[in-house]
Amino acid sequence: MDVQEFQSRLESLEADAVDRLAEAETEDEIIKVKNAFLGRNGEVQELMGILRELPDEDKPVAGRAANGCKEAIQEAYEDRLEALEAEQLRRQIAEEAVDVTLPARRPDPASPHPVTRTMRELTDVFVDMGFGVADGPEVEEDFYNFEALNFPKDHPARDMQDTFKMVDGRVLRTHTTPLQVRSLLAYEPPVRLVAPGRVYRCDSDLTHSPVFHQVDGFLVDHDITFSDLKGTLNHFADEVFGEETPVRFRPSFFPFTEPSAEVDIGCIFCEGAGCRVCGDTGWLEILGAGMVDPNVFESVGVDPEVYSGFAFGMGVERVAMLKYGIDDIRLLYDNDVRFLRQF
Amino acid sequence: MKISCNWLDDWIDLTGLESDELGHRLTMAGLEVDAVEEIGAGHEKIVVGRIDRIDTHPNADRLVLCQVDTGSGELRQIACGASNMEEGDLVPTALPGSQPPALDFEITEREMMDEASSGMLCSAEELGYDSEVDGLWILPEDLEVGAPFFEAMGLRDTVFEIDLTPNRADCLSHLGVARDLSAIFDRPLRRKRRELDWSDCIDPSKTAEDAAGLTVEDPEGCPRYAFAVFEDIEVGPSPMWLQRRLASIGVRSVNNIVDATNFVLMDVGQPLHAFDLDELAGPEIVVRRAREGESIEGIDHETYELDTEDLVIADAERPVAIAGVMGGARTEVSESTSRILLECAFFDPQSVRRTAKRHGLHTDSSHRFERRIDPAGIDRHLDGAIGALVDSLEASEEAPVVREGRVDESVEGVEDGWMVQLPGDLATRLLGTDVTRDVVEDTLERLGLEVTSGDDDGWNVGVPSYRGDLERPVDLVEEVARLHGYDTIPETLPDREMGGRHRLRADADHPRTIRSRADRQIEQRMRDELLGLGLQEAVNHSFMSDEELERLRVPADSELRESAEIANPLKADEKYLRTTLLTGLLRNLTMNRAQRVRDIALFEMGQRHFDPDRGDGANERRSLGILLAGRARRHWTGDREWDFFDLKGVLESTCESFALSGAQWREPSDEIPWFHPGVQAEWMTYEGSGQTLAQAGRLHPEIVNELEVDGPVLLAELDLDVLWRCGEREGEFEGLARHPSVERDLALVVDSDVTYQTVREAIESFRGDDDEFDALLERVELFDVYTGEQVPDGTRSLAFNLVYRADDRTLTEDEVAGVDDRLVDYLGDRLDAHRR
Ligand SMILES: [Zn+2]
Repeated sequence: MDVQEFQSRLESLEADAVDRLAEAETEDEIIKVKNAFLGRNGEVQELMGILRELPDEDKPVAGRAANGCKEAIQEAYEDRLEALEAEQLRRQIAEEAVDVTLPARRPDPASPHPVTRTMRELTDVFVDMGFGVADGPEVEEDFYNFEALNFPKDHPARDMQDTFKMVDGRVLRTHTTPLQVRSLLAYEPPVRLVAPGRVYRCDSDLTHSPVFHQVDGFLVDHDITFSDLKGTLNHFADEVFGEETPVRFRPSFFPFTEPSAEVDIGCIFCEGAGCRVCGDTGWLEILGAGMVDPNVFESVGVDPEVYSGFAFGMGVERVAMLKYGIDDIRLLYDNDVRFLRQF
Repeated sequence: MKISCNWLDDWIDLTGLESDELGHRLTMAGLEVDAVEEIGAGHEKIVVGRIDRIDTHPNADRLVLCQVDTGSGELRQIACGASNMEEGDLVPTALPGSQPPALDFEITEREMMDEASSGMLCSAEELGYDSEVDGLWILPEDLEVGAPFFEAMGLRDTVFEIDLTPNRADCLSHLGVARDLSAIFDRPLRRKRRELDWSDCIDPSKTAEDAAGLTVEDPEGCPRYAFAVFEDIEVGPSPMWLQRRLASIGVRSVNNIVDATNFVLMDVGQPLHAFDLDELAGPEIVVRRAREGESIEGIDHETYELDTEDLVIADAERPVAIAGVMGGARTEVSESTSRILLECAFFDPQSVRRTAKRHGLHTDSSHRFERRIDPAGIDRHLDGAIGALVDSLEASEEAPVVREGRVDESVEGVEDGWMVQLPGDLATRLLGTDVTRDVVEDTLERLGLEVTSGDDDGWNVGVPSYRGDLERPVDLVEEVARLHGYDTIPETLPDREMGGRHRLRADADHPRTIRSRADRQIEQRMRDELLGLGLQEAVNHSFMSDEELERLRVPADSELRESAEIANPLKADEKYLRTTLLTGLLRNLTMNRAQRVRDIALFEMGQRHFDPDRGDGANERRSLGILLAGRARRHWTGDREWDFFDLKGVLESTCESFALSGAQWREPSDEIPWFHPGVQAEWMTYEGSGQTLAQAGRLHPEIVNELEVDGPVLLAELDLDVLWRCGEREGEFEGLARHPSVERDLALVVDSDVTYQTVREAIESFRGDDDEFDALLERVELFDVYTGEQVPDGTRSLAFNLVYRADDRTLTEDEVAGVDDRLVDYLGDRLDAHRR
């Protein structure tokens, strides 16, 4: 064999290798093809045996040619491998593509109960104004719920709050105002607290639930005036119902305040024009309020000549029903999941 | 309470004031107007008609055809079934398009037996008034034909429904409201209603004492009692003016006697009662407490068993009325009554209230006595009542009146009112605005108070006896503020440092009430965590029934049976306060399932209540209840149902911020009957005598069937007070490991009844036996549980992943393999465990 023939054998070997690499479909096949040519017993190696038989002067040429062939096959092999990987990746990507518009996988969206959420919002307005938060028992002594709050025994004022009585003589608190008594007994003025919580009245219809929630608050210090009460509740109305919400104070009666007021806000539905919700008055009753009655101060041993204070209270459900447009209070306690999801 | 503007006109001239303005000013003065009723408004098409001619109906014997002049210039033919009218009579005529108040249909043009009929001639009943007359309402001759009927008859009225606060007893009458209007508008009171001169009716030869005796045995319960006696009276319908008055405020007309007493009640606020004198044994009136075993049949024909605290009016033999609350049936005025005894008295407010409450009664009379009527008004009101009765008895003006008997146990100090000293600066100090002396004096005087200068720039204020609510200086400040207008008071913010600490009172030891910010925030974090896990928040009422506990198979000796009982529940099944949040959540489950909502994940935070006699003092405990049912996840890639381990996970992640490292799950020491016997657990704060933090499990399949809710239901209840006592977890940085760890998997075969917790504890206890193990073991995690062919019957395999790490070097597998082997030997000895 002369060097030409050797070279042409190399060339056809190379062409053969390139062809077979191109035909190989898997990584294994490609490696097998490579080994068939470049392996220890591969065809190129076999030809290398022949190289030794060539005349010495041809050896450098043939050697270069053989190395060239090896490199070419190696290169073809690597290209092919790379192409295959690229192909596989392309296929994988194609296979892995998804319809990104399909629905997500996540826990059901959930939100706090409208009553809890509203109670927290109302409380926070006063907390931000520097009020603390007070908490107390739901089954309450008559003293804290009534007597110390200037509801004498056998007085019609007690009819203002239909009361659940316990067999043991205590009552289910009809308001969170007992916290006013408990707190004034525990702390030295100045005392400024809000008492959010669950209260009870023997009453049930579209707008009354035997169990409902209240946020009650009070501030006792030197020189607290009715105008401070007005300013505080105006600020509250702005925070909860929006800036510039009109607020109206009407004379009323609560045994534990004097003077007493009902506080209305301008109807948030008709903006004062009159509608079904506000009974065509343009106003919505939201709060009861007033100056702490001297009898309350006396029952907790605070001198009304030295201190004065204001107090207010509101129904959480009432505010929640207005804010969310709920017309039947019982919906709040059914816990229909379809209802709860809407908040 | 209903207040008629026509009636008010008797007491005050309101000319020029629109009803809107009146209503608004009343409301803004604290007499809240709830509703305004315009009587006769919208009835312009009911007019005064004159019957011109009456013809027989060609096709109907019982009908006639009237040609009626309604002022339109043309006669209108109207068919009519009445027969009490004559040609020329004026009658109320409802034109087509109108609807008489008592009818539920509109009048139309129509044919009656083939004859056109263009309207309807009305009876009093059809217009909403009672009448003895059978047939049409024949009107006075002087009315203008064609004029709107209600206006022409003076029946047009505006009626306010006023929601009175309990302090304003003085306003429970037209006179009382007129007094406030007089102050609001600065117009004088007047007395317009005709005052009858009834002196002729008195027979001077007879005295009240001749007619009936009077003994007040209980002057505390009845400080004043007066009566008048009427003889030869004829009980019958009331005159039209009286019927109209009562009808305008929705009071049913009964007869001329009862109507007159109701008139006085609504006019001046004095309750009266008329007895049939001939039915009074004695005849005698005794005001006393009821005796043991006495009872009375009320005018409502209910029998009331009397209490010895009940004040009664009795005759010589037995009670004839529950004083101030209700009369008795036996002495009730009837058609045959010819002599009456008219009572006008003052009864003690608290006594009346206790009695009314005791018998579940609430009457117009008790309502006023409870709130305290004017004690000084008895004489005046008895005179007024006699006048009203004479007026009402118009037909029998000859009736002699025998007056008067009265007992006067004058209520101490209230006879002519009392004095209140008002400091000069109090109004300014409380209201936060300068209130001038003129404003104070003017306002109080308008209210009928007598104002004179007192000490230190103050005033001495004389309060009339009908204003029982004005006792203290601050009450007068309210009057000034109320009439001057709350809107005149400025708005200020409390001018002081807010947000400082609250200091405990030094003079007493009362429990704190303040809940710390941190405390509130933790609760909020827990709530947020639960919401994040997809649970909806529920809020249930606090009531519970025996049946609900029964259904849960709660045993008699369970803590859940130690409930606090409500004496006056609204419903029989709301008799107890809840001792568990689970009953409420189960109600939510059945309700939602009834609405075909299948997937339900709820939590509730609230109080559980226990009987205070239990003795441990913890009557109210904060709790967290959880209910999971249906699918935990709904997704097109595959759904998954909630299971017990989700429930545990929810509880554990919710309590993440607490120091619960020692808390352990275990099978309950006593089986919890409402849970599946094989799927229930307790979470204990720590081993041994720990407290139960939570109980969790699957609802017993039998209960699931009974509730017809289908599918597993998972429930848990966690005691938040116990949780809070564990305190918050405090993180502490321990540095980061520098050397790599070695992980080993270890599958152990143990008997099926050996729990994971037992194996886990044994691994932990090996730390005490083997210092090297203790030093190297960093973490143990269960990664597989296997039961089946690969392991012997009655056993299961638990596969753990153990992570070892040394602080000072890189561990080798060989080093660790030795430790592992010793662990397996240890577990083999202890639990008969071996490698799988
Ligand atoms: Zn409105």
